[in-house]
Amino acid sequence: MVYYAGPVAKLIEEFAKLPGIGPKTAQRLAFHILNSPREAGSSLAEAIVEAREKITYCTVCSNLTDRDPCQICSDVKRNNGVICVVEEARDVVAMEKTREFKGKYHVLHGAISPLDGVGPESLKIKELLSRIQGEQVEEVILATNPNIEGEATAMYLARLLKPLGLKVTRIAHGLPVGGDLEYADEVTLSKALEGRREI
Amino acid sequence: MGIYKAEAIVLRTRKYSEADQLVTLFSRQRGKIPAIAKGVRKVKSRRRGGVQPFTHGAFVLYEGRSLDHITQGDVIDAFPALTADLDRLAYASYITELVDGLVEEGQQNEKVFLLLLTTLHLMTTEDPEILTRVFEMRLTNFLGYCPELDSCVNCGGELGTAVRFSPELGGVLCGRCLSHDPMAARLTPATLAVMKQLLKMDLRRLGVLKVNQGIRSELEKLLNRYLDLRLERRLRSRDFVITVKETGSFSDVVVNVEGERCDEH
Repeated sequence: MVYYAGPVAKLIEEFAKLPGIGPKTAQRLAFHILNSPREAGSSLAEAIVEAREKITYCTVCSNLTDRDPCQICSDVKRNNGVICVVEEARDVVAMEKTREFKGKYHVLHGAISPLDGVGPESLKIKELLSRIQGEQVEEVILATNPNIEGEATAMYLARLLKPLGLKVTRIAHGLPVGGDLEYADEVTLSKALEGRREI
Repeated sequence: MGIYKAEAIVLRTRKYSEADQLVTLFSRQRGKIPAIAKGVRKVKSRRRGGVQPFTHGAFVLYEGRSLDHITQGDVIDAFPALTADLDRLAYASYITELVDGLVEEGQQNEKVFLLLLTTLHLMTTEDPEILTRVFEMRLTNFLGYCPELDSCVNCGGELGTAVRFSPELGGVLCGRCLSHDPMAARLTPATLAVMKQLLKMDLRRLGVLKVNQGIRSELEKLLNRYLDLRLERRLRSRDFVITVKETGSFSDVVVNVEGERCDEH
């Protein structure tokens, strides 16, 4: 039995392919689009097409960008000597929100995961190495996630970069702001204790 | 049934949905358990630290329809030394993948659990390569896949001098039976002796065992091929072990030409 007209069914099907969206939510979204003004639908469609067509990888840092090199890489006010290495483009946004970091980024697009068969060759490591050889880089900050994959990636990179005579640092592990010692897990707490510093 | 407790080691984890994680546990009580830990990727989750790979912990689970849910996890040992050294991490990933590959779900085996636990503990201090070979030999032994080392795997006779190892047939081959597996590689008496040692030696005395580079690579080649045939696939973390080996010297264990281990610390 056919419940929906063809185009509606297709729209629902497409929505249902998105992460975290099941058939019911997809149906709601589709009907929302159909009930809202015509322009709302076309501007959504345009935005999707535009994003897919214009966004590419930056040739310098591999971040997602609409121009090459990306906004951060072409910013002359930023410090060229410090590169912060992150796993995903989302992490660049997270770091930028801190407003603390004035250097440049490098996006790996993943992390080494021995058990899933993701090796160093599937990440943007070659790009990082050639970049370091080309530019005057003093410090590389390894800001991969604090889990096994992120640690493996950080250690692997450290092993490659240290012999080049660079300062290689790893972001600190510790307690979240507004957190509670009592509710911190043991591993985090011991890392926080290990990385304590004098005030 | 319903809620149960299990002492387990986390074999592998995979991201699932927005903030959940699929976790494969290897428990003392129930063997391999596929489970899900809800919401552990959120910053606020307290169980987050407990469901990282290699963690030895006490877990509380409840039985779900397809997967069991992890509701509590208390870390007994997180082996931080493993995540602080690339070589050890690579070998630890390898042995956990090996257990995941060779042990079937619902196959309870306390010996294997204790072997894995001991090996992870020793992995934080001992030579990871030799320890991995010990682990491979003993794991196959406990699971009933141990290669035949005492007499010819084909005729059961004395080995003589020209000994070969046939991964396909599952053991050593005497000179007369060579035709049954012409591809079988030569096995030096020293390597055979080391293999036997790996099976029976006291693990606390592992540091005393000196194995030179030649024997190491021979063992690695033989056992890798042997395990691939038993698993019927290639282990993914082995490629990582190889990559790590290629990228540089062991960061804290240096093997010199005489095969003696010297710690830099």
